[in-house]
Amino acid sequence: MKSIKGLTIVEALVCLVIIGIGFIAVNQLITFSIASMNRSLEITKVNFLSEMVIEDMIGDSNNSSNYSFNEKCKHTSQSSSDLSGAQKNKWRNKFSATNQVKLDGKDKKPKCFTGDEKRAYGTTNTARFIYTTGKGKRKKYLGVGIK
Amino acid sequence: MKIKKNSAFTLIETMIALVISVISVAAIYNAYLFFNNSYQGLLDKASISNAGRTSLSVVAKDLRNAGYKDINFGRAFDRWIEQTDNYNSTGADSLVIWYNTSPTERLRIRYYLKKYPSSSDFFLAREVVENPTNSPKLRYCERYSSQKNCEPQNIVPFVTDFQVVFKDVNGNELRPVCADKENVSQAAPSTPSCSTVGIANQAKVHTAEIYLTVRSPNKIYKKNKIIKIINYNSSTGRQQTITDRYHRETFFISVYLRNIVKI
Repeated sequence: MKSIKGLTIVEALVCLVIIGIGFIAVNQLITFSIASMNRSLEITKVNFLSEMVIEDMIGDSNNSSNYSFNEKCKHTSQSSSDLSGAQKNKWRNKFSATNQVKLDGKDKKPKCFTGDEKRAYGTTNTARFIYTTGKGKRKKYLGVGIK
Repeated sequence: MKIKKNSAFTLIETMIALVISVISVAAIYNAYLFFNNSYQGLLDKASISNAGRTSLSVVAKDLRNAGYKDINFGRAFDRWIEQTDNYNSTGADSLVIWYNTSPTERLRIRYYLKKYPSSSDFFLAREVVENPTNSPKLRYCERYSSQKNCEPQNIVPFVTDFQVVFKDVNGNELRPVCADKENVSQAAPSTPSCSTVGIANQAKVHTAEIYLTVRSPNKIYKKNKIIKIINYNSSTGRQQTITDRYHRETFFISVYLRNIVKI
């Protein structure tokens, strides 16, 4: 009797498991790439807002040394008796997207991880802004001469 | 006679294989739908982000030029920047910027929300007029010489709101900021005519803050969402609540008006 051999059910299941593992890997890859694009959008937003910081410092160049700013993930408004204080409170609100667009009653806050920060400081003739993303791994610098 | 026996899958095996295949195909299809929706949503968000930032860069460039006077410009130079609430009853503001491009040429650039002809959506329009007070000529016409079919530039599609806030050197809001009675009454009949305070406020403007809320071209969310948009958290700002499935994002710029400050 001639026996024609095909795949056994066990072999077919093993094959399916291997394909399944591959499929999960592709899933992870796509999820990661979508999350990366989302992060990239948020970084672009910070990049754009950094121009606001520099512009505000140029506008008050005589007091640029009052613009020392260091914010991590927690944002707390501080007293603002002068222009620099008011501007820094504005930056806090913009960086944390507070009171801009609320989705189902909640602020759409950008993601922030330990190590991320936004830092500004001015000297008599320069304004600098540094922001760190990716848990402190990526840094971007922006600096201009203001006088 | 010798009977040839062919071994093959049993019915049970075939059915199990079929069930597994159906489950696999369903999983792959659902994953495809999920990733496709996510990707489409992300593309829409990226397009909003790109359009919003590119257009605000154009607005920022114009704002930095606002009030620029060529040293050889001989005619009266008494209008630099204006803001009008609820322009054309859209609920949004209009921003008008004036500056010289040569010793004899001057531009008036107006930003405002304009409705699409075939829908209730708005776009951010940029209308440029050359020599606005002597022999005004609009740019972006089908025939420039005869000023035929002139249309403002559509610099951002699907805009929900556009708000302009001017601040003085101490960070206090300035309102009204306008150039003359005629200009304001034509633009928004419901707004009181420009007062002497409004005219004087032009020279006090130190910083311009712009809020631009853009919505996605396609519906992104599966269910309706309640979206509250707060553009300038003050009684002079605008708050609106919208319930739909579109994604919205607010872009903000703050520009130091270096030419006006030096006037």
